[in-house]
Amino acid sequence: VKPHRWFIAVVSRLVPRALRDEWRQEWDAELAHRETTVEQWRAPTFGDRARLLRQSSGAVWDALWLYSSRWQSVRSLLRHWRICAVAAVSLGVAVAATIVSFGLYDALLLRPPGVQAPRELVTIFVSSPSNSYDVLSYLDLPFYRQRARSFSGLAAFSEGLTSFAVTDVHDHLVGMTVSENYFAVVGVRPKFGTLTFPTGPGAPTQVVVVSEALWKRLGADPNLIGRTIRVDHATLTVLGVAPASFTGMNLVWRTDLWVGPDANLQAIPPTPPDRTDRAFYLLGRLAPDVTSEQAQAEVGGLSAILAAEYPTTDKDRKAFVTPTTTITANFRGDVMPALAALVGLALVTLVAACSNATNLLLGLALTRRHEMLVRTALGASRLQLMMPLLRESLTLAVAAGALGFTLAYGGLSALSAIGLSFGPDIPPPAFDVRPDIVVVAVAVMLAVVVGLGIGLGPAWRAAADGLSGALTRELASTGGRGRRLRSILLIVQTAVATTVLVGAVVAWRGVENLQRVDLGFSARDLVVDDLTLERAGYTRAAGREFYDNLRAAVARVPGVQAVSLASGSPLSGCCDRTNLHGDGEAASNRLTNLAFATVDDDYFATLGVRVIQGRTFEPRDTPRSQEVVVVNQHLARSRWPDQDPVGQHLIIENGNRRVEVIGVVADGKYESLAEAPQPMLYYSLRQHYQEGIAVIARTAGESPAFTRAIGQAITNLNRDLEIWVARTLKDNLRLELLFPTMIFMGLGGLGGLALLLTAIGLYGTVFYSVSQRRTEIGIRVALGAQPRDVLGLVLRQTLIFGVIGSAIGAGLSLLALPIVSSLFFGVHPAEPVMVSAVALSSVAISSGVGYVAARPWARTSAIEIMRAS
Amino acid sequence: MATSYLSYSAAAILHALKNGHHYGFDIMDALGLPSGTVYPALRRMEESGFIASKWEKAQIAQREARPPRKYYELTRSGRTALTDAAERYRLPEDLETRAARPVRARSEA
Repeated sequence: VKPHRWFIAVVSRLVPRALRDEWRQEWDAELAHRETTVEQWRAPTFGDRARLLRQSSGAVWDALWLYSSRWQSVRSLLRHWRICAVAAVSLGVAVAATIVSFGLYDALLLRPPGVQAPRELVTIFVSSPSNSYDVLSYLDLPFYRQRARSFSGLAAFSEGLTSFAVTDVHDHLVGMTVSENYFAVVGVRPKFGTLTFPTGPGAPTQVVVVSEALWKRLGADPNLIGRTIRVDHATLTVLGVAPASFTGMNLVWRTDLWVGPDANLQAIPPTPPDRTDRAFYLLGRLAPDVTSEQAQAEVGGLSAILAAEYPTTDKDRKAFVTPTTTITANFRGDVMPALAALVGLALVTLVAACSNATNLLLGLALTRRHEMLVRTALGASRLQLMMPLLRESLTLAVAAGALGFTLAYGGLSALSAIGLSFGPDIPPPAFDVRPDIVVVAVAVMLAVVVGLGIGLGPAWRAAADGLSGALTRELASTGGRGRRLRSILLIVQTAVATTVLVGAVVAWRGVENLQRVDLGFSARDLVVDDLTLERAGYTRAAGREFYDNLRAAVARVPGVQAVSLASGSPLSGCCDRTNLHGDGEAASNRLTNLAFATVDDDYFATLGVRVIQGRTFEPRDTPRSQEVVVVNQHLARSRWPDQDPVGQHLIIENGNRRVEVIGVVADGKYESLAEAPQPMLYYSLRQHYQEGIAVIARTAGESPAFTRAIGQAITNLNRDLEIWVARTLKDNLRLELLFPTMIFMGLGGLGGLALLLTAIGLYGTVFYSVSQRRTEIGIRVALGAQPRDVLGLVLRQTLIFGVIGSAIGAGLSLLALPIVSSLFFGVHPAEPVMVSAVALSSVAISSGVGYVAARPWARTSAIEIMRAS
Repeated sequence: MATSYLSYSAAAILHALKNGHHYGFDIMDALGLPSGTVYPALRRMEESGFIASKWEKAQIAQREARPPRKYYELTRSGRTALTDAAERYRLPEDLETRAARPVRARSEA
């Protein structure tokens, strides 16, 4: 009975087949030898057998170790774990940056709305001289529906999303006005009831479709259909419940309510039959076998018919189709270049990380030259020689990819979970940019491409070396192709870091410029509350009276220094639009889309807008007196370059109103920080009653306590009064700066990463190349070279790489700047000084790293250096 | 780039090989290390080129009526690595053998 032999027989199953026989033979032979030596002395006892079994127990570990040798690549990477960890982490971070930027690109621009066959859906916009993504009138729907053959269904949906207050939910929810067949075109089936709004004469209009989320918040009553809910101040009958899978087709806002075009909710008055009342886009589902190009051609032709039929309202308006996306086409244009730049720079950073990893793998490949030679001698083909090395680089890339994806997933999830808030009465955005299957696929592809990318060069080289390299081994390690490849990689990295840094500096300049921009008013210490009087049931007369009470109540709040009422506040829905006609002159003097605001007497003083000429509004400007306006300098200068603007007249709107200019005020920023100077017109609030009003108060300092106290003072006046948004003008500014700052942080982060990767790569290369040259350095030191000379020797080389790399980077930046400078506020297409400053600093950094890496060698004595080699 | 770093047990195994313990079980006896440590270390060092293995001559095995055993010995690089490691670990010049019998007689393969 030999239990140890059985044991070995069983364990041998673990050993790879190719090695199994030999392995078993070795163990059997050892055990047999033991048995014979024991037998020479005495017959084996139970104790002897037990000892043999115990001694052979380690065969499990032995077999397992051999089993793991199938995972050669993992093992050889583990042997050099320090190098590989550096390579994997730096690659992983760069992969994460790429996935995050691509994930954002995908979520914002590529991901289709989550509905049935989303690619068949198109949105129809109209381009007009004043707006390249204009909306349509509801009256256009029947026209297109009747004539267009490209669509299996055509529906209308309102331009904006509206915030509604739903009774019993105590929250504001996003709603949308849609045509009766909207859900049919989108392809959504009801969870309960029907999603088709009733049409025809006498059909009920006060009906609503709610989301499943809202249905749950209303008590998840399966019998909700047919019951009424209070939305704002209207009573609506619930028609149906949309399933949870449909949350609207907007990336940022989740829609919870859909009403028909004739519903009367006060906030949205019923749509009047007017061709110029435009508030809708059309949503079409392409008919089978119709391409979007064909639909485009048809829709364009139909809009030409409309233009001919209604020349006064539809002249120069051309309809066009765009794919239906979660961000509407007009915003896509704004977001796309910035995101594309981010993806591009992330990819460039990834190239830097890859060249780092290539460098490290090249070092590993050189240490295996001997193995390569042996395997060549045994007849391995070049491909067979390369395979294990490629497996190694792929393993490294997969590890880096896994790390990168984990980091990216965490980052994007965190981004999706950020509780953005635009004020207490605006529904929080439901913003989901978590990676989907497309991003996962791209990440996997990225890992494979990176693995091959970093591995092919070193593997090819190592395999080539095996054929002829043995004899030139010593020479090859200090020169030749390996070193040339390393040098090229270093130059690429330095160029990349320089380019990305230029990008970061440009983005920072953009943010800086925005922060320093002349607003034309003083943004400090201003609190803004937006109200709608209409919802609280004020008539025009009562509203006018209420204005005075409002002003007085807010002025009484301790710390409030000045109060003004206006139709809006700067940088947040400041302006409406009107047309300006020539003063009895030709139509060429016409100005369309002129911004205007309606303000009270104290507006300019409260906001600190400089009055240049004339006067501002006074109590003598009443509804019965001459209609007067205040204009900004830009408008005054363009209209009356050589005349005194005060006392001039303007013809506005549809040419039906003649107003007198009484004053000129300084230019400012009205709608966004980055806007170009634009003409602006102010009307008197006393002459033009406003239902939506912004209360603007200047306070003695910036504190949330003021915002609260003012809000309290307003609601004390009338409990029914809703404050839409309470915030400070600084909040408006912060919101304006949010996107540029995010871009800057993205670019800055990438720039820092690229720089760090370059430093690591440079350090490794310098350290390696110096250690390769230690014989030479030793001889030089022995011949009397000072540490200074040795350092000079090394630094000269580093400096050359740094200068060439930075010059290439600077050249690339100068080429790219004219293309991207428009993304950043106040950045010129050519910035030679800034680019050269960045290039010089990257030369300085690379020299610094070279110095740190080379210093230990310069200090050592000749004996030490020689002994080390 | 890669420095060969020997663990204490690997160094001790090299040392045992140098002192004439050429078979797995002999090394285990000499060092008192379990087979689960000795064998994987032998495989690893063979892969690293510190040791080489060959099969015992068939006649010797036949004489003792058992299969031929696998025989390990130091390579040149193994010797260098051992010199480095011996300095670091302060290994004794000769190892006290725990086996009862003289081992040199058996290793004249």
